[in-house]
Amino acid sequence: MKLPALQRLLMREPPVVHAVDGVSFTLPPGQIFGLVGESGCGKTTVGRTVLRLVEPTSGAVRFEGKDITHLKESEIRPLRRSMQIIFQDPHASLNPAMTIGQSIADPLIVHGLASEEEAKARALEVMMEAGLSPAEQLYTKYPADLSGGQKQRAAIARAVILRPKFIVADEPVAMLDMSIRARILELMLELKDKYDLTYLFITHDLATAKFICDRIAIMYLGRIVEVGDAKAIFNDPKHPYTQALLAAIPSPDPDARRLKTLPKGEVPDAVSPPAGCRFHPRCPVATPTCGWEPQDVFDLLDQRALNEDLARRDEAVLGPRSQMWGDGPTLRIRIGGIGIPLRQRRSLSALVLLATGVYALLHPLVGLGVLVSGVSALVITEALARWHSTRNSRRRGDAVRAREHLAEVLRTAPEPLAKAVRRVEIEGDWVVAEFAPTADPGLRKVEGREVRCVLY
Amino acid sequence: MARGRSLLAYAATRGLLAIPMLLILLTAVFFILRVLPGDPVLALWGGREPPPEIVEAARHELGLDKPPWLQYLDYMSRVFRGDLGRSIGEFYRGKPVWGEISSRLPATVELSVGSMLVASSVGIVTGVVSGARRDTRLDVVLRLYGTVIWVIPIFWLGVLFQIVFAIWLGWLPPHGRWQGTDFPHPVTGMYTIDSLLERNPAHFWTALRHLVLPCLTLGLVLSGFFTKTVRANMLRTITADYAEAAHARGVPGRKIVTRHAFRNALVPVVTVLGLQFAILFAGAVITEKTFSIDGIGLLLLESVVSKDMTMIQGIVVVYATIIVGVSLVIDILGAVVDPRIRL
Amino acid sequence: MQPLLEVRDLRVLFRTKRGPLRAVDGVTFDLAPAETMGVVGETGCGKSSLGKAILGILPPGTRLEGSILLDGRDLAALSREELRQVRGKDVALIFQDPTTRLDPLMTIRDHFLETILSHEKIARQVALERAKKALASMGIPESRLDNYPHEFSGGMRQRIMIAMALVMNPRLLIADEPTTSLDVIVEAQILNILEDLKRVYKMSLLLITHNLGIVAEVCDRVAVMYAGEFVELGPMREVFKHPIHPYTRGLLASIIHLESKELNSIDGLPPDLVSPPPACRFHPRCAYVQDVCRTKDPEWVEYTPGHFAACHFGRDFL
Repeated sequence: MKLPALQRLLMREPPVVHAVDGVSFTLPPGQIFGLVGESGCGKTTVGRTVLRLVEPTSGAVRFEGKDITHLKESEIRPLRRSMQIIFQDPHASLNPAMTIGQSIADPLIVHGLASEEEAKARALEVMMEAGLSPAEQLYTKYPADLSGGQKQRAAIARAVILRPKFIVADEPVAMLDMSIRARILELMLELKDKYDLTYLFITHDLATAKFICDRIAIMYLGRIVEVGDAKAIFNDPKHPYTQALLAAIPSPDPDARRLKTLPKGEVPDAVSPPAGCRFHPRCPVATPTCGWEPQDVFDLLDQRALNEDLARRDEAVLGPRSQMWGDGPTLRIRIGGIGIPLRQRRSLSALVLLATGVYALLHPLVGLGVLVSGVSALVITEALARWHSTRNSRRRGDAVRAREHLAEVLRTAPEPLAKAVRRVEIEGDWVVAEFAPTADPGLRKVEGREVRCVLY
Repeated sequence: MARGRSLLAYAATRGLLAIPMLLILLTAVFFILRVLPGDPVLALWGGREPPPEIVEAARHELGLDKPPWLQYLDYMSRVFRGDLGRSIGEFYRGKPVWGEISSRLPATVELSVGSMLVASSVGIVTGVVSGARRDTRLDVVLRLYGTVIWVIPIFWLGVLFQIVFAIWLGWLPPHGRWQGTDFPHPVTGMYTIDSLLERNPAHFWTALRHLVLPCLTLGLVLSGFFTKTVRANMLRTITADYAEAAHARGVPGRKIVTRHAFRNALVPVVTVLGLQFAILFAGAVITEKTFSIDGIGLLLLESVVSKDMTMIQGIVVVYATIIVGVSLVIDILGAVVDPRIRL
Repeated sequence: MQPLLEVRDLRVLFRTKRGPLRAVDGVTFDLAPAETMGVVGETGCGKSSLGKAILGILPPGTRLEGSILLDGRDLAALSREELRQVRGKDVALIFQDPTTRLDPLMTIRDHFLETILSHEKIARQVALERAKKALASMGIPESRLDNYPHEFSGGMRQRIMIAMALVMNPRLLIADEPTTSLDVIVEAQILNILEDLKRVYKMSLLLITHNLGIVAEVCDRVAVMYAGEFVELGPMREVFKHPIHPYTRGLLASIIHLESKELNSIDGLPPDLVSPPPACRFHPRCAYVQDVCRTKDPEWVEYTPGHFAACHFGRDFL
């Protein structure tokens, strides 16, 4: 089975979120491939796209050598028998109005593979295999009568009843109690041997992944940052993010307590992911070439804002945040001629449009009215913006002070960021800071695995 | 993180959206009335077969001989200039439609606003009390009230009120509108407001007394909906996680009900308020008939009876515009209450 | 040292249609000042009810028995108003899911003001200064006071919840699965914060969790809860290294961690707390079950100093 270049999955519009961005991997038969990452890294989206439950924006999914990316729903239905999914929440995935037995037998009937009698016999058989005993008795029970572990067993039984070749398991044990997780994982391994299954195992729990997976891919913000043999990665993680993830897991060994250097902050918004290496703003071993950009300066200013004095100085000299823009690797801070903030400008033009729109509709010739109102809306907004800007313009001396202050702030920033600054200058009404240009490092081969990091 | 847009930006965009909404509504009104059975010209003649040349002349006069798209453009640009045409019905033949409507509008607005005030205040209070005192005797009584009042026919309740409060007790006038000659000088046309503008408390009192029974009738019937919705939402919000968290922080129980549970329970109520206005207008027709209030509802009834096409069209256009305006206000109100809507 | 919290024979009985549900059934323990104690157990073992019982925020109609002494004052005997004044001021609680625990219609500023002004009659300006300080200590700038809860990330919301718990400077903090809904790195950040609280503010912490790894990271002592009862209680290191009760042993063996060599689990299901099994409640699932386990309640025995367990054969497991 091959799944090359699943690229640029588009989730919802607007705004365009690249939930997954350029993910490629192949999954040989009989393997358990783990997709590991924190919430929002795109692992679930990948799992669903592989099954065509989510449509990729670009890229391809190949199953047994056949490109299934553009198959029609009718063409893909026969394939669905070979590809199944197990969800995180067994309670939500079982129909509360159907008995457990009916739920498990249902796929056989839906696909027209068996009569009701045969389906029931087959369901009972699978229930036994899945450890749902006494099967006869549980067959007529409803999901609400079962424990979480039993429900997940039922969900697994339903997935394997069609004898699939490939199963996507999306956090199958995350909602279960610790004491029964192992049993469910064992069951999945048993069934794998029995039916020659291939698993795509999606999890946020590295320990589970280590235990069950042959190969793993660590995902961060829609990209794979490290992929390779599970043993190799766990013994010697290369990517700083993988290292951080492993270090952060609380260990049940009281002697294993250690000092942790944790990544700063949280996973940024996927709508505008960081430039260069997406992990660079949080990376403990970042270098000046990792992709520093204006957003990192905004984060730095936020950090400084925790101190009241610094916050007041920054605000007084550099002006409000609404007057700072990131433009690729260039930070622009407007000092002279401060205009109307973009957001206010939008509401302003909307208001003008509203007013002129009413006029347009009242005009005897509606078309002419629309034209006049549109033009006047533009003119009025622009005039107001200009008036506002001249009213707030500052003197040249302020720009010099702002340039020096910004340079000072950047000099005292954490080293990699400070060293990434190319220049800080005054350009007309603006103070401009430019950072070293960067590109995404791409996946590089390192000691039997691929790592997306400039260190290698 | 996504920061919320300002309320002003939301209001402005929502306001802009109201324009296409209005256009679509007006278009719909135009086409629906065109496909309705019954020829307005024939109706003018009250069932008798008129001579063809007269039919032709009437058609020309009404613009019915032009192609439909031209009729549509004509209609739209006229509507926007406040010209709703002239009546073709037997009661108001030849009179400007807008003139008739505008003379009746104040009475209906007074009735609607009053009823909405009654409905929302009674409904919200009973709903909150019922939800906060779940499963007590009071709750059972209020739930019963909510269901019963909602299914009571408006005219039945109206007549009951007239008999009890006007005829037996004699506390309030049985008729819907001021039946005297001593009206306040019309500024808005609404007697309550006009008498206030004249600073004449006696007049205001008279106007108000006339409003009480109809508003109570229509308002109480509509309040059942509020009672039930607010109660259901209160049950949800009073046990919500944030309410429990507030409890754990030592916030007094009374404040949890008023500040957390009540405000959150109102959010879904506000969003369906617009629908209630549509029902309110339908109810207003019956209420006006019951209390013989000379409002738009009554005018609509008359126009339907006399197949007064232009009048019906005019009234529907006015209703549509009011509903668009009201839903605009309600949506903005919703954004004021719930910051998540401003996104 | 005089314990800060003494819980004696605490029982919580929920009203259900099938009869009283014994969510907490005779729990006794002490908590010293600046001590962190973990309560571990599986879903439905009553650990969350224990936390809510101490705070007095159980749903109406729930029966509470036993005593909860905070500095010698019995919280279970207080009037509603007295108990309200204790909540949030002397004892604070943080919850599992910070997303749903903040009122979506209120700004962070209003949340803080409400909390502080519920306990102290001070000027809003003074209260606001305290809120700013508490927020800054959690790494959130005061410029975000006017933001609404939905404008924060999960980790930030939990830090806001902690800041709000800290603002009254309580002596006891109860944390009910404080990191369960968070990602592993953010979880580690929050755990660091909790450890700092103990160090800097000398706050006692009752950490309720299902995650033994978290207990090993931050707790001084640990209690293992099963079916409404404590089955083992002792110094964290002791319990992890020399577990006595078969349930504790099973729980420890079932953790899947990075060093796991094999998979283990405890067979069977947790009991129904409306009609729990007689005698030792763990006996239907216990691998070492004997006749006496089905007929006689095991005693709460102190095997080594401070290390208690309720098992008939505790000595054999030492």
